[in-house]
Amino acid sequence: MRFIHTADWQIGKPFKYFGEKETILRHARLKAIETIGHAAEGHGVRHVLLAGDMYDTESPAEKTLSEPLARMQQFTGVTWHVISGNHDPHRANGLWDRVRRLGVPANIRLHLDEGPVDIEPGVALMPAPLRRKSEVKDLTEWMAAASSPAGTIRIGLAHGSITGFGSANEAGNPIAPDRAQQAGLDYLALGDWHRTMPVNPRTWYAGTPEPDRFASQENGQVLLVDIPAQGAAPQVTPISTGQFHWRMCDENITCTDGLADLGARLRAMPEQSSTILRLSLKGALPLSGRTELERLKGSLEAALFHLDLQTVDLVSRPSLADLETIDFGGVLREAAETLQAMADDPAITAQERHRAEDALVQLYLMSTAAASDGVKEA
Amino acid sequence: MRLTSVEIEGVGRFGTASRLTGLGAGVNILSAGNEAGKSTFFRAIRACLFERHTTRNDTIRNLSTSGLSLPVTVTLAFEHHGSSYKITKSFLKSPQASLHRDGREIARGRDADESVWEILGLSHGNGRTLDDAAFGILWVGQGKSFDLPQPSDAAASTLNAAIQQEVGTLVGGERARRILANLDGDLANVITDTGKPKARGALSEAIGQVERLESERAAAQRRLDELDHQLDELEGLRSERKKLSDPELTRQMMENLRAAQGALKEGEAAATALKQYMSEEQHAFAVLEQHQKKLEESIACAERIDRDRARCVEIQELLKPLDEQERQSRNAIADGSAEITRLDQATEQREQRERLLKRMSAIVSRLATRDGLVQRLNALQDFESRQNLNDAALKSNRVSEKVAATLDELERDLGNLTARLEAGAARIDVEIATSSEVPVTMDGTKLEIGTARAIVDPTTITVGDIARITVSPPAASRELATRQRSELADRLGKLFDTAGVSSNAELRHLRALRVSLELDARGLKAEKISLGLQDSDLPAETARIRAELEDLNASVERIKSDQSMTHIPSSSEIENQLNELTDLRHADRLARGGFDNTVEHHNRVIGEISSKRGELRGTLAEVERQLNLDLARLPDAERDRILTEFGEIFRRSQLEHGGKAALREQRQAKAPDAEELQRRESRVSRLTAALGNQKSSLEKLDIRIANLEGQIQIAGGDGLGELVLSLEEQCAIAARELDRQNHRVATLQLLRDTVDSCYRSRREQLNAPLRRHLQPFLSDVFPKAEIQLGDGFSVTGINRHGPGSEQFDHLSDGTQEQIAVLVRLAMGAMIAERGQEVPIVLDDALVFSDDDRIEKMFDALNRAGKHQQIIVLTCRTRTFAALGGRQLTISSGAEISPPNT
Repeated sequence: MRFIHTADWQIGKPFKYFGEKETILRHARLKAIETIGHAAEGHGVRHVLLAGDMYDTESPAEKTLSEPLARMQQFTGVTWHVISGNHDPHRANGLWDRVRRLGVPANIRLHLDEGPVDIEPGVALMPAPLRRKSEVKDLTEWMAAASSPAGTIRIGLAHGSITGFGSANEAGNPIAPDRAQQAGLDYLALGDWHRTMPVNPRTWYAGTPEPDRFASQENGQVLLVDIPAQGAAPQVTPISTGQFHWRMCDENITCTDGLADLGARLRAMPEQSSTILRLSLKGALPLSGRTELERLKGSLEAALFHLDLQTVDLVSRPSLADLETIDFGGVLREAAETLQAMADDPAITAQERHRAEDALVQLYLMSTAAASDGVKEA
Repeated sequence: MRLTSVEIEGVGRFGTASRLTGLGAGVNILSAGNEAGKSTFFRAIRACLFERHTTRNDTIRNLSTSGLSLPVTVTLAFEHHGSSYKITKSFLKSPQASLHRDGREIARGRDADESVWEILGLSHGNGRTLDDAAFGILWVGQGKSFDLPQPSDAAASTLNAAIQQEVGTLVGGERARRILANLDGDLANVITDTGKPKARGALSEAIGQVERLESERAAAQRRLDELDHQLDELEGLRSERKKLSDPELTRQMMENLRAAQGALKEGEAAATALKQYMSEEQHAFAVLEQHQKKLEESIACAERIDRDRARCVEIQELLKPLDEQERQSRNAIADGSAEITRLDQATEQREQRERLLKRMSAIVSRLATRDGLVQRLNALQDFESRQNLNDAALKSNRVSEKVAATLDELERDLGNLTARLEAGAARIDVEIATSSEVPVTMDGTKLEIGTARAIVDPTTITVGDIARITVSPPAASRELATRQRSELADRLGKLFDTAGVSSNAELRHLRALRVSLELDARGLKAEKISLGLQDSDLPAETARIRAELEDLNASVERIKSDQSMTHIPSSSEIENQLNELTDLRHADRLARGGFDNTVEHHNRVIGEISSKRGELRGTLAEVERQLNLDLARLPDAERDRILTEFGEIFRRSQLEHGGKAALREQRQAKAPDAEELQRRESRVSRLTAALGNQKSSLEKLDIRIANLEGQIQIAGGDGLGELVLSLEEQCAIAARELDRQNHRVATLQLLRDTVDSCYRSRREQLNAPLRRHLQPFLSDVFPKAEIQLGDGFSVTGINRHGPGSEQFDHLSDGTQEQIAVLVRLAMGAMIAERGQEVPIVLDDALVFSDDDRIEKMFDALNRAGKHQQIIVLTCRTRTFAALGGRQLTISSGAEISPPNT
């Protein structure tokens, strides 16, 4: 038995932080379905198991509702087995009834009630759909009691958190870690955890096929699962499906030259146009470095799909040259030194210090702009 | 820059070409009357220097000569940094501009506009406005010389550049001021002067965006929560419906209902049959009662016949003694009535005697008053007699009070007439010798001893026979007096006739009598009143008394005659006889009362007997009637047979009813009682209702479920969950942007405050150059005075008379204007010293300066004129004659020769 295990598509998830690029990211999640479909066809897979959270919300817009269905429908040789997750639980007249009203394509099977379902001769699927966002009891318990003919490959399909797995799970929905063993499952396909993760050789989290956040997995993927026979160890092979790479980079900067070095390294990064980078800088930078930083920021924004630059921990420390750039003396120099003293003053709040620091940077920028205007006038 | 020539055409009142001539270095003065066009030249110079030649704004349009379709043309010649320039601009009509330097055109059109600005160091900003730099503070228009100079950005830059050059770059005042200006500009875009977010500014927009998105998010979240609630509710309802529509439950309920309905039907049938038996039993009982009643009535009839027969005998026995009792009573009544008649007759006789005695007693009483009546009659007759006499005397005496008064008047008039005649008449004295015996008479009266009198009438004196002397008064006076006396004598005669007298004395006597009679009449009147009479009562009263006396006498005589009496008994005798009669009458009354009672008693007895007899006879008749009726129903001969027959019928009915009652009791024991039947009905109703309720609940649930499904479908179709997530992200973004804006504003404010604070701390250092340039001019006008400078070249006060300073705002208008002009001169000097000479133009300034002060101001102006061009426009020709300098003139037409360039 060969199938693809996937989960957590979360179609309809907004990406407002990306502004106009939101549409691209939303589209990428839909595109991932087609990638999975093609992968299934490519690997001779006739069944794709979706372990919950196909939708991001229980009440998506009509268009959002039909978009993944339309894409799955394209792959007529593939049957998509879907259960509800904590983001899209099945409730009476809820999301899945809406889906039904829309008309479920023939190659999509919604498993919204527990109970074994034969999906192939000798292959029983044991779905454990969620009927609410957070279940207190383990919905996979029934699998242990469900009988099947001898030699039947038993595949569990569930969405939740493995008990004691230590994950920062999104909801309750506990699942016993040894459920596969207890219930005699050949494989337990899980969803909810956005990073591909084996719990044990027969129990896997597929991860999301297209990441939607940092600290998840850099690139989306699905699992190609082969079960040669009932009781045989499953062979699990990740397949990359994600279009965008969610990367994080923490750098400690101590001088302007450090920025140049960082810039060089980042510009060497592969797949820049599909990279979403969170660049967190800390350390200290002279005022003149701010200009460099802005320059680097500009160049990275141009190269990357999206840059999330975090500089909260990057303090500005004016050098003597910075202060002289502002003025050698007089009113502005005095103001700069006052602001510098405030930025270093432990007696005031961090917010006030930060404000003084930014004011100093602003003074520097205005001074240099004024100086360049003066040059221009001259 | 130094202006050397100005020429205008089509400007204001100067329709034809006009030129301002005489311009040169130092002080220049254009002194001309009002409306001579001084300010027009001034405005034309500004337009030529600062406006683009293509401009059509109000400034330019206001310059054009009204009524003429001419272009506004201005030509300026000036020297600047050793070169001679001429700029010519035509506005509105065929606009053009041309700039010459040292006689050669160096720019044209737009280039000419901007080349001039570059030459003069002016900034043209964004292309629409022009910052006229130092010109703005040194060219003072009409009415503006009172204001302290407030340099524009470019002007301030020019001044600061001069200061910077003087105090060195370390002060950094100009750079700080520029940064402050930029910060103020940036802040002004986002907050107001009071620190509130500025409408349409980035901060305000960020706040608005947060509020709008939060509101939208909250609304969407509410709808989503509602949807969530509806989904929960729907699930609950569906679960409830599933339980309610359980087929096993429904089957059980139906079975229970059917069983209950069967039991009810069976009970109802038994009840119906029981009702039939009860009805038959009731009918049998009714027949039994009917026969029982007949039997009882027959027995009662027989008993009544026997009883009535006995009663008839009894009544007849009671009637028998009543007749004897009535006869006895009638006899007693007859006896009593006879006695009463007798007593009534005796009473009548005694009453007649009593009436006679009372009449006699009245006569006796009247006789006692007869003497009084006689006396009163006599008195009345006497009074009548006296009154008649008085009335007759008064009637005959006609001397009334009026007549007496008339007499007095006539006598008084005669006396007066005589006195007047005597006073005017001759007087005759007659003396008779005592020894003479010859009688001497005067008017027939003998004189004894002589006399003396006035002669008012002819008077005849006779002396015996010796002489007869007649003395007559003058005829005229006598005639009048005679006539008057005659008239009086006539009136007197008539008066006498009226009074019936012949002389005065008689008249007065009669008058005295009448007075006495009138007194008597009043006395009689009083007496009449005392007699109790009115005027007309006297004869009637007299007649009445006479009639009463006659009646009394007649009564006495009549009673004496009637009773054959010789005299009338005395009153005591009469009283005794009356008392005796009274006693007798009392005794009779008592006797009669006794007889009356006896008669009344027996009458009552007779009535009672009659009543009793009637009653007994009525009862007897009624008993006999009933007896006859009963005998008709139950004749004595048939009595036993009838009673036996009715008894038999009654017994048969008893047997019939007993049988029916037994059957009924038998059925009743088997049928459910009413309570049980009601219980069965209740059970059927309850089970029917339960099924109905189940159906109704299911229907309601179906409706509610359908309703919820509809609502959920609609809400779900709206994509609420997706919308909420999207709005949450947008809210977070908006909040972040708001934080950023707030941080930016706070940062800019901190920077602005810090720079401003440092700038202020260096104020004195920055103001030093201006103070140094101002001091000589100030000393010219206000010796030993010191100016206090504030921020931005402002003047805050002046120290003239010691340590105390005066606030600038509190100074007089004249002094304020003078200081403002001096500050401008100082600024001009400061700029000129840096090599950027700008003409100082004063249009109609120093209007409030007194003679002494204006002289000093002239000194200051001349001091300034040593280093730069000063142009003074004034209409006060005489006052400004002492200014000195170059006299400017306005020439036009043929007087104009081409300006030197």
